Amino acid sequence: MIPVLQQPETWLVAIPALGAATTFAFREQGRRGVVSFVLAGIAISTAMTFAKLLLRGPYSHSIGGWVAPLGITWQIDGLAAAMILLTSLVGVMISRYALEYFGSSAEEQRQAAYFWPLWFFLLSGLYAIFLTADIFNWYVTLELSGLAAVGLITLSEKPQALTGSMRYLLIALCASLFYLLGVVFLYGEYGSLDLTTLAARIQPGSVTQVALALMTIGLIAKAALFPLHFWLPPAHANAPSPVSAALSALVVKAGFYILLRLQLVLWPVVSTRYLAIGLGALGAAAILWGSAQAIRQSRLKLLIAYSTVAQIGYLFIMFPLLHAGWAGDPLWASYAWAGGVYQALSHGLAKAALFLAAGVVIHAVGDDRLDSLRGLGEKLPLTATAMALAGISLMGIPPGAGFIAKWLLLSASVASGQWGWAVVMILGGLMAVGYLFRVYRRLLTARDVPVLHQPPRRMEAVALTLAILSLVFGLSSYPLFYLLRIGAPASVGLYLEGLP
Amino acid sequence: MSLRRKHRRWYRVSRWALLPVFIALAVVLVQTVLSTAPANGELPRLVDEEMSASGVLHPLTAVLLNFRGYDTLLEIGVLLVAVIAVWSLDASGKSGHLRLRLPSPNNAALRVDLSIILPLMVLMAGYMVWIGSYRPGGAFQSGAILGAAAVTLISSGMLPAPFGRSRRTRLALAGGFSFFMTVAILTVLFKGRLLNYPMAWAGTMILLIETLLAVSIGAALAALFAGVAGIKVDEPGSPSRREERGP
Amino acid sequence: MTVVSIYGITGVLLFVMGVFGLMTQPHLLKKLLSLNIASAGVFLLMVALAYRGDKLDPVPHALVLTGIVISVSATAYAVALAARLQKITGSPTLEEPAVDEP
Repeated sequence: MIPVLQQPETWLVAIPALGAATTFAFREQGRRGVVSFVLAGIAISTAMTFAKLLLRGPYSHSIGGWVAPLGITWQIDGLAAAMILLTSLVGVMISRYALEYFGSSAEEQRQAAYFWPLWFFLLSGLYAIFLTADIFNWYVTLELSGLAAVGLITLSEKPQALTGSMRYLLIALCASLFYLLGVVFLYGEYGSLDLTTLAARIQPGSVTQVALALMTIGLIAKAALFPLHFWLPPAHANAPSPVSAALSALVVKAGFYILLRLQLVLWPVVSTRYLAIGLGALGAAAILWGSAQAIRQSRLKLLIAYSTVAQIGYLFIMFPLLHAGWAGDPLWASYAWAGGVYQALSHGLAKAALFLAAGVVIHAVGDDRLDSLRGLGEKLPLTATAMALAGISLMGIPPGAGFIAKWLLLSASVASGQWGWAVVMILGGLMAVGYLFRVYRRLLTARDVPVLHQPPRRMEAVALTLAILSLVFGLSSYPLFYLLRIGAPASVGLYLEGLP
Repeated sequence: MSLRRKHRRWYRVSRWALLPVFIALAVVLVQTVLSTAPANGELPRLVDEEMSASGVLHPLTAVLLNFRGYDTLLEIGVLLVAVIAVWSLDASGKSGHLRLRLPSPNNAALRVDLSIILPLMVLMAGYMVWIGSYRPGGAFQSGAILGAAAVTLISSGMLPAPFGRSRRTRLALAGGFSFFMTVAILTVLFKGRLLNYPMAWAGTMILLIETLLAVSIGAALAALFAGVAGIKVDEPGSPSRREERGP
Repeated sequence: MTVVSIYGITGVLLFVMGVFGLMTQPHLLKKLLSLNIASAGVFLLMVALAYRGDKLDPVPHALVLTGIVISVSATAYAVALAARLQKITGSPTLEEPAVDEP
């Protein structure tokens, strides 16, 4: 094989980063060409990374040829590949959307000039997070993607967006410091920053527990878990729509991903059951609180943002279930693990579709009040369909991908006798029906509304594609389970074959 | 309750409500520092063993640019993101917060001072990159000096504030990162690993990367200064300047 | 008590003070100063840990340099954002802007 193609994972980080530098230095000159090149590069590298993973099994890439613990090592396994797939799908779609979203007015051109470099840096940083297995490198990549994300929110000049992003920035920086302090303690105790080396050396002890607790606090703030979620709704709801989609679908998943990685290899040794239950309880509170707030909102994007708060809750219900599996039947752990990852994926696709559809609505009628949606079902059928299909996944109805996620989590909690989580998840599903039908009811009202601007077809098509994808992933769970099995940690991988 | 009142009440109450929490946190953390295990010395030993293959003689530079060079590459990305984000807040670069009074361009003393200091600063910056390979120094120290030189120029009116956002400036800003990333990609092509410099070339590569990084870091620091301060320039003799001086 | 633990303890205390200030000071500039005090604390702890053993550990030093550059970048952006915020809302705090929802 040609050497270029042997290390496709490196291109995932390099191509968007170089795209960012180019769109920054040359502004609008040849922008469409650069964007197309970056998108093609992302698509090809993602496909090649998958091919390599399927052919060779899980593999690592020692950067600079320096083996850990001296150097930084990337670990590519099924979980990393699943997150990369999500990032590539959502990333390419959002980019296609953004090409139409920013119009030709001077103000929009100004936004576009800064959107593209920041957006490509964000993508590069996300790929870097999903590839690496070095706890300090995660700090750097979190800052890279975090700073780019805040910069993207403030492209909207609304005062609420500025206040929201200032809050987000302060929380994110403080969260990073908690995480970094934990990293420093782990390094002090074990003399390594490499996750695999740490996993081999880690022992129960007070320093280890404090370090992991600090890192956990930092990461749940980044993942916007209740009660550290308060920055999310104003920031996500007031950002430009493609940015809202990226934040909800991808950025909050980064914190969750790192926590999951730490959890899977370090926690089986040191974790106490109560910590896991605590995370689950916060997740449950997030589901109930987020859904209740979503029902109360009168603006579409705020409603979607509160729905994100709720859907993040499901991700954290995974942790007590994993723990129950380690203590009892490992099958439960496999269920919980697959369900959690499925939830991350299905929420990413569905939520991106919803936010992009909301962007189309704003483009068409000028604002996102729920009441402005009346009668739009007839005027914007594609967008209304996108909202409906994405909602299927969020509500957890088959054949949405969210159904499989919630079904797996429910099975794990019922099988392990932890009924409480099941009740909360079912309630959350019902409340999701509640807040989404507030949207659908208005869309289906018969009313002759004037559409101010006919939105570009491509914007509608992108939102619809993402919504359809969220269903496609729900049609068959087999491919994702097959993927997750590749290099799955022993703590969860036992029964992945046996899953439906 | 309005958000405004909620906000104010939080700051009235939080100080006392949070104090016990933070005292407890402090106790736990101090305890943790005291019970951290002694160093196992493995990593310093590994750094020592591989120094000969790193292409430089100073361990810090070896870690920064070679063993953990990937961290450094991304961190330059963070610096560039900060500049882009700061610029995006104030697209025109003209709505200033800080009012700067430029000295008259005919100020002879200033001109003489600058003509001595600036070449020295540039010389010092070059020296810093050079000694980085065997002594404390390197791209960051050098970039900081270059940045300081640019800030001096801006505040003495010799560089157009707000530090032009011309193509040339943007190229200087993005150049270091782009070059570093391109080298990373080329090493993938030739050696199969990101940032795996060919051993014979490692020293030269690192010196070259550091030089370009120093320029970009200097430009970025100056751009951040100008962007954050949002410098509004009063040209000498402009009406606003006279006005401000008052009668 | 060794030199290392003196610096290490100072580091974590600075961290706690910084985070406390971040949460209890309404003025944005004070919040940012607090944040920088907290990060200085973490960096101090890192440097102290590098001092253990018979050999100076260059790795934490490199990490601190990386951390400082990141901290400078983030602070610069945060200051610019705070200035922008004050310009638009007229308040140097995080109080909700007086304009209401559309």
